Amino acid sequence: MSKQPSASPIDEVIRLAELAGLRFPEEDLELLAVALADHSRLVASMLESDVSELGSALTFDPRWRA
Amino acid sequence: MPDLNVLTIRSAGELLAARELSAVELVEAALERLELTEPSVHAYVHIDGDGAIASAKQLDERDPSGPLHGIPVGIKDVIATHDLPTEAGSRLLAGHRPAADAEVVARLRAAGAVVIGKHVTHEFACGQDDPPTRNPWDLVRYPGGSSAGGGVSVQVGSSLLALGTDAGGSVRKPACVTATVGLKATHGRISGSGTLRCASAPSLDHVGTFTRTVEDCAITLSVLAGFDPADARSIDEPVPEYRESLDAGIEGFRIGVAPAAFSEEISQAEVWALFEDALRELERQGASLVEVELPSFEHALAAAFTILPTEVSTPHHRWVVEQPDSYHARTRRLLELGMILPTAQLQQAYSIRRAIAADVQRTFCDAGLDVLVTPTLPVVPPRLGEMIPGDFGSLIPFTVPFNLTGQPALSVPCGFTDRGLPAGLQIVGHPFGEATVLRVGHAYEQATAWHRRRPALVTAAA
Repeated sequence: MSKQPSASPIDEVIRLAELAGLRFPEEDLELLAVALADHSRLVASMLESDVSELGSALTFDPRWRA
Repeated sequence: MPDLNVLTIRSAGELLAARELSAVELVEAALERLELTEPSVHAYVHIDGDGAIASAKQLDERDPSGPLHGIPVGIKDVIATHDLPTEAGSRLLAGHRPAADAEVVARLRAAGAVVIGKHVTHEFACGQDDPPTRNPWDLVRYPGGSSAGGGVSVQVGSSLLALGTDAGGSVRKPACVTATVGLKATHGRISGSGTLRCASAPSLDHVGTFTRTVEDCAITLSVLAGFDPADARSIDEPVPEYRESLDAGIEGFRIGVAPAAFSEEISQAEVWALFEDALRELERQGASLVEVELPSFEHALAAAFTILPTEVSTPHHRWVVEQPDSYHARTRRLLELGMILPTAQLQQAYSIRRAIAADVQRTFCDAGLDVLVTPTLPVVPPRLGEMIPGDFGSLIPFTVPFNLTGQPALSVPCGFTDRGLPAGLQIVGHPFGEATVLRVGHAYEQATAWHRRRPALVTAAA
């Protein structure tokens, strides 16, 4: 089976915008693709961080115990 | 005419109470200083001199009562004022006049403060465009971010108090690079109602203050702090009289330093040297330095840079699509980025935020810390022409973690480099531990004279 060519960074921006129901000005797409790539590099290590040991996201006001 | 190079809220208050100074004289002096400095520093976007003098005249007709009676203040142009435009540095909001004051502005006025005008901000406080505000210590250098107008104005004396907002450091950074005192209190301690939603990341944003001294900061916080049912983030906690414990000293205090999380490696040597001098002063006053580790903080920037654009972009969806040309291109792209960041990244960023909050809570409690200290900025204010547009990662690594945790954080001046550029000491406390933070800041400030130094721009004119 032939491998599907990966989307270009600009196509990826367009796809993500469409998923959000948005259409951005053409002139923004190239620099936005660069910004998205920069952001992905910035968060790469964070995304690999194991947060499975974290407790519940919910906290309860102690006054509920009264 | 009062000397605005030395005046503080406290000293002005004493003169006003003794009737040695009138509110009109004080406001006129601030306006005169404004006229002198604005052509160089551009701290204000809207000025209401006539309105300010009219307010001061009314105040002079009665005995001074409020803690800010007659004090000239400036307000960041993202915080609502009923009598002045609130435009957030945006063409989209040109001429926007809110129907009512933000809660913080109402509290200032009720305490007797006189609003002189609105301070310049970046478009929607996003930090992407190039506002005209300049740093009075060196006009070609960075004035500190989206609340820069406030720090600059308080330093040069065109106000004695300013309000800003801080979602990543935008009160503490300008305070640092203008050598003023900047506080962001605990998230929920000061009401954010009336801060424009389109210029705010609500879970990170804090209304904060600029003053010339820590005591002035304490006076102001006692006015601003307190529950506001109109702000869902507001927390109903008792408000102490913040000035009461200022002079109690720091003997026996345990002060945390985290050299791995807030490291010398990413700091300029001259800034780090001033930070170490500040640590020695705190030790000299009887505090113990306790080295701690905050391993989760390595992800703080990544988490903040995911949450911040996502939150601030939410109210912009329609405008970005329908009126894209009304934005500065770099602001628009930041907002667009916030609109398309994958949910998985946002989810992880919020998880990391919880990990950071748990880490710092454990560290404070296990090590018995009263406060944690860091340099406010790791670098001196860079030259504006040498900055990479939109690159704030190098400027906020020491401030943004405490937007994620919501802890109170104060920046006080801690010296000047050989080039005459200011540095700041950041003091971070327990949630609702502002009194302790201010006590440490005041103790340090009383032993130093950095907060009394003024730039040549105003000393030459005096």
